[in-house]
Amino acid sequence: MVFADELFIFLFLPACLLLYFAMPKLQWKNNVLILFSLIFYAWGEQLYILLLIASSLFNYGAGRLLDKHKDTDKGKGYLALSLVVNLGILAVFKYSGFIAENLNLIPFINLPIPKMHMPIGISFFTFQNISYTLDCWWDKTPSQRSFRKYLLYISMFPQLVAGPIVRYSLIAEEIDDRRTTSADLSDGFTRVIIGIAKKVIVANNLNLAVTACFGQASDGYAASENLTVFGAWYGAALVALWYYFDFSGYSDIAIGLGRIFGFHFDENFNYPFICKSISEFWQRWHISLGSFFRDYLLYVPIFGKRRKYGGLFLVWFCTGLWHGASWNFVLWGLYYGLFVFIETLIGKKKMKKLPAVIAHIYTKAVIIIGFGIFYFEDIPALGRFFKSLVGVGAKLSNTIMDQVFMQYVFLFAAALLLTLPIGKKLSQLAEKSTEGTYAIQMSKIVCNAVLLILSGILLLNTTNNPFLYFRF
Amino acid sequence: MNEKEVYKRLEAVFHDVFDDDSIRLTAKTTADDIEDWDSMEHINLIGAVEDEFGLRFKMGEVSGMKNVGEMVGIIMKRGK
Amino acid sequence: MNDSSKKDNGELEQLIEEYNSKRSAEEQAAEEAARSSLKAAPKKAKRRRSAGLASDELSRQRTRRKTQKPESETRTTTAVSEVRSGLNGETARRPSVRRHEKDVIPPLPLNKRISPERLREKQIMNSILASLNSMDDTPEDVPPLAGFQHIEDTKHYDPVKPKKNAPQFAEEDMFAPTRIMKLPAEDGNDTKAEENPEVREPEKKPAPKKKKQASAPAQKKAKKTEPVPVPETAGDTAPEDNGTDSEIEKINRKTAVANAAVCFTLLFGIGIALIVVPRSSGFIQSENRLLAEKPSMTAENLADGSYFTDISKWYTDTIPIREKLKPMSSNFSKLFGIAMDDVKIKGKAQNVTKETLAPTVTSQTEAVTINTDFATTTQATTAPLESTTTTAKKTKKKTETVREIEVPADGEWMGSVVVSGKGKNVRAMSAFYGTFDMGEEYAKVVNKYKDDLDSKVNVYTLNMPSAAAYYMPSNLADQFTSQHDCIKNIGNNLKGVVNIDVFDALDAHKAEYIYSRTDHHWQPLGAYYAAEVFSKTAMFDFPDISTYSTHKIKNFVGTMYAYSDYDEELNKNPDTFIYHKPDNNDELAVTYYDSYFANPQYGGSLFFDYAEGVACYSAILGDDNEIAEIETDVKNGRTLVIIKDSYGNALVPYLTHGFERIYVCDFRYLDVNAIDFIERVGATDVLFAVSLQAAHTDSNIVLINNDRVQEGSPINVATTTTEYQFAEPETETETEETQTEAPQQEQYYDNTADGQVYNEGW
Repeated sequence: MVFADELFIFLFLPACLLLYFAMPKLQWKNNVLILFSLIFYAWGEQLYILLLIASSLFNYGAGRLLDKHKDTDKGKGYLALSLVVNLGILAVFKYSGFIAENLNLIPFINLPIPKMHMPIGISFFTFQNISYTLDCWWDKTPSQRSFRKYLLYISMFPQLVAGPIVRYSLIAEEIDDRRTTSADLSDGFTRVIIGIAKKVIVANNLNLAVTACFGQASDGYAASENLTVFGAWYGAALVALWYYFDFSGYSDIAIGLGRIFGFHFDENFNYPFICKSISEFWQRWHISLGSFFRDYLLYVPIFGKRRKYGGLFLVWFCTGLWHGASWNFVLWGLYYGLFVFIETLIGKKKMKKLPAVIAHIYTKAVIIIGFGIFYFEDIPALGRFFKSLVGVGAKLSNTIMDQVFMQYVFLFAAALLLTLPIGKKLSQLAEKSTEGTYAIQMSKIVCNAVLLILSGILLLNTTNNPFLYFRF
Repeated sequence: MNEKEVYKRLEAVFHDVFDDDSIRLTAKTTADDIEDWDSMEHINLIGAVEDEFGLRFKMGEVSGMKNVGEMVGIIMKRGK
Repeated sequence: MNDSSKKDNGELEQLIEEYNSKRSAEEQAAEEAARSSLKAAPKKAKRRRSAGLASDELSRQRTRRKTQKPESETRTTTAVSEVRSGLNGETARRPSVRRHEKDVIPPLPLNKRISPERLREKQIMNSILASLNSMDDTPEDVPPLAGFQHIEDTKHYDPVKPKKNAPQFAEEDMFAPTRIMKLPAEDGNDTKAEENPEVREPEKKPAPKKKKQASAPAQKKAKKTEPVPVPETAGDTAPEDNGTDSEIEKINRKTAVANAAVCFTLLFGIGIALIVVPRSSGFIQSENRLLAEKPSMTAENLADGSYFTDISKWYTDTIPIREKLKPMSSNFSKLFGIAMDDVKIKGKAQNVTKETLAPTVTSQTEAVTINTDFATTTQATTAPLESTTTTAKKTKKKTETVREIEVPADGEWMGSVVVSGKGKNVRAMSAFYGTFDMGEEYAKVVNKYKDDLDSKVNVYTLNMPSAAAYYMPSNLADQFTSQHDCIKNIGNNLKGVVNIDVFDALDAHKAEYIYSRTDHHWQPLGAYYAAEVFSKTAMFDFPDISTYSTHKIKNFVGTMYAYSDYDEELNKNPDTFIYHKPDNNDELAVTYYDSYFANPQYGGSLFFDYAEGVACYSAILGDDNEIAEIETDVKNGRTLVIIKDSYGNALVPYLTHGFERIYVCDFRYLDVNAIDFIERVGATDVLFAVSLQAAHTDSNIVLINNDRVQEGSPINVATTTTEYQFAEPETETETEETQTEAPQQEQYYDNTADGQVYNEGW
């Protein structure tokens, strides 16, 4: 099941809310959440729910064992085992094809390429499990005694399939002690509706514009065969916006749903495009992933040869690889790592001295090109993209691209505007007076209603499936 | 080793790593208080502190320290 | 810094006093004990462990505090409230961001939150302990504001996490409170705290507007507004400095309730409506398909998940008023931008490199002479065939086999759709993506047909251009390869096959209604002009249009409506499907066979006058997956086999004066071997009537070739009840024409006298 779906919004969610708020006791509420989360996952993945449950059970057990054998060699062994199993699951289900393909490049090796089905959300819940075991080992949280509650943490449907990567230590208390206030409900719903609107209204339509410029993986990026300079830059900018609204929309839904149930997740996006340096970009983009890697991976190489930049390389390699089993993603990660590296060499003081205009141009250019790398999973197409960026063998523009640009010009402008924290600033201004507060809050209500209904209408198109030929 | 000494030596390390002699440490000092103290510099800092006090931090400690006070606590326990 | 710290220390003392006064004596004693035991080796508390010393103690105190009496709860909650007063009146919201612009990723993790009241308490404890433990010139306890420079997002910080139990000491989170919290501004907010439980009671949400679920949400909301020991929203208690803030907070509170109410209402209202209101079902014109049906639960479809996907599809597909709402979404997408010159590009745009035909190549086509001596051509035999049928045909070794390809699903549209014009002139057309290479491949396949057939059989190819050739806005037309060039390119690659170039003929009449505007097909009038060209080349009778009777079907909104993402302009300005019946229509004997050329249905008609809506084009010849046999009243010894895609259908009515018999087969739905079929029916002329785009599509070219080499089913030219024997199959080589026997080739059938023996492999 996905969030941007009529059945989820108008059937599953109301049913879940009804049952949840009908329960008098918190633990019953938790059980309702677990039940609905399992239904949510099984809806899309059927038997793979057993993988989810098994992985949770395993890590729950690991947490208990680590608690018992703290700071012993046995404990270290359990920790290592848990890491191996968690990463192994990920490797098998997500990366086995990729690994086999690459091993086959070595002469004499001819492995069959396994076609594993990748269960949805595996990247997220595996990382959540890893964060839990490591936190238990490092004493940042006591292990959870009840498997039921641990399962709640892992399977909770708001954050199961699309993040953010919520750490156990963050919500450990809230599992046992939380309350939904009317403010939680109001803000939660607002957040959810904004997230749905971002995904359905903005992201899905930006996607159309992206395929108009670049084509898709399924058609071999046909449209990129004849890229123009303008088309390359415009298309990559569209990709950046598309991913932002898609991903942050889902994160908003997750955080909003969490609020409704009384949980407080950390933010995952913080207006990433207003950054002035690439390091800052990564503090604003997919924050839960960045902080995960920072806390659990960055310092690992210290204990090796203490190379300062070994950690950096490792983190960015993994960041890239996490996003997909393809070399363009790794390249994308290392690309950003390179810029972070350069910025650390330059030093924060000098980076701050950069005039704002230069900083913005620099960061936006890097980001746009970066998302181009992210989009093309096919190396030849990526090559064409790079060439068109600089105008090698590509015209400046063509009529089709001009046409497409004009066709989406307002959407593009609106998307650009929405990357700025305008809403936040407006609210801050308005809340200085009662009239302003009233106006802002009422407009919020109106917006919510309009956006919800509009998204519901647009979602009708998901089942469009026109047939060319007449069928009796 | 008493705490005062530890703080003095630690301050010297900080001055060295961050190239800033004006840094003053308290138990509550955090990364926010020192401008250049980010995740990358943290690596340098950890290395320098380890060298100065002849100890090794554990992985959990490296990313788990909340403030200088905690660091001092660890140093007091295991440092030389 | 010193001054502020001194001042803060003063406030600190003050707080400590208050704090102490609110604690019971017992607790104070406990604290003293804790302080004194601090120097001892700290025992690590079972549940909560941390590296620092102070927090160990604090955790011990936390466990002690759990056994407090309720009064202390309210006292600590007033500590909470005064802390909260320092914040700028905020609804219960979490900090939206933990970082401020100045730092790069800080090295320490984002740990659990701590509400400021707990932090405050802990800080107070820490400072007490630190001051006790340290010597004089140890760094003084720096109040939380030291070094604190950024007061970002004070509004977004939610200090309160109402808890049933006493507040517990969580581990310090260095980011949120340190940076954001302000010291409590003033005292005396106790009264506010007491007020709140009362204030909260009347907070019932307004009755939802929809009738049906009035009770349920109201109940839920009532539950949520249970009085809580700790005030819900920060601002309830914070007077800040001016009275207006509580106003603002009241407004915020009320509107939060209203907001939640509205959202709940909408969600539940629509949700319940979608359950209760009967669902749409049946056929929808706009997409030319049936709406999804509710799947039934079976073990299989549960296991493989198709039940769930089908239920989701059904749920969305059958939403009542779906068809009425879709135009809304397409109108909404108009807001995304400006359609320059009323031209919109939809679909999956593909950029193509435009090719131009080198002028020198055009003259290479060799002239092909048409064989008009039909009297001696083999007639379609109705008598049982012996082994004589092979006659002058070469037997070649059949090495070519059917090539497996992935055919795009029927209905999948590739490439851009351009919608131009307004009102009655609005037209949707697909962009043309042919390349010369593809055209060459197509020509090669057609050449192979010519080679396989008797030399007396005339083979033609008629590739119709699409509407884009004539109606594409000129600035866009330049982006694509010229369709006329592609036709000529095919011609240049033909050997022995006649290229019927209809481009100019259609061009001459493009002001007439020769292409539909909302459908990807041409209008029958366009087929008329194309057939005219064919008739001139192939030399057969072609009556003027005036001899035909005209028929119209109105409100023809064709396939392009869906492919243009439901552009409403198309829907508002539908086509009229105008077709013509030949004057000998009543004399035609039309028989429809299935794709195996079996199961004949006699007495059919060329025309399906009841066609309507998006299927109007199938008024001529109906479904594509049938083989049609038309016997006319013409006696000229000519039999035509048309191998076509859907474009070819419209040609047929105009050929009824040219041939004795016409066979119409769609190359996508042919399950017999084409060569066998052509010979079996005794064709004198073979026409490939394939639209230009289809002729330039790899999968279609392969399909056409497959038809030629596939084994297919045994062909039954059953006009009587006699069953027919079959000749040995033709075999051929790719590269050379050798007259080898086919001994290695498996016998597919055996012409033994006692009947047929079929190879089971079929």
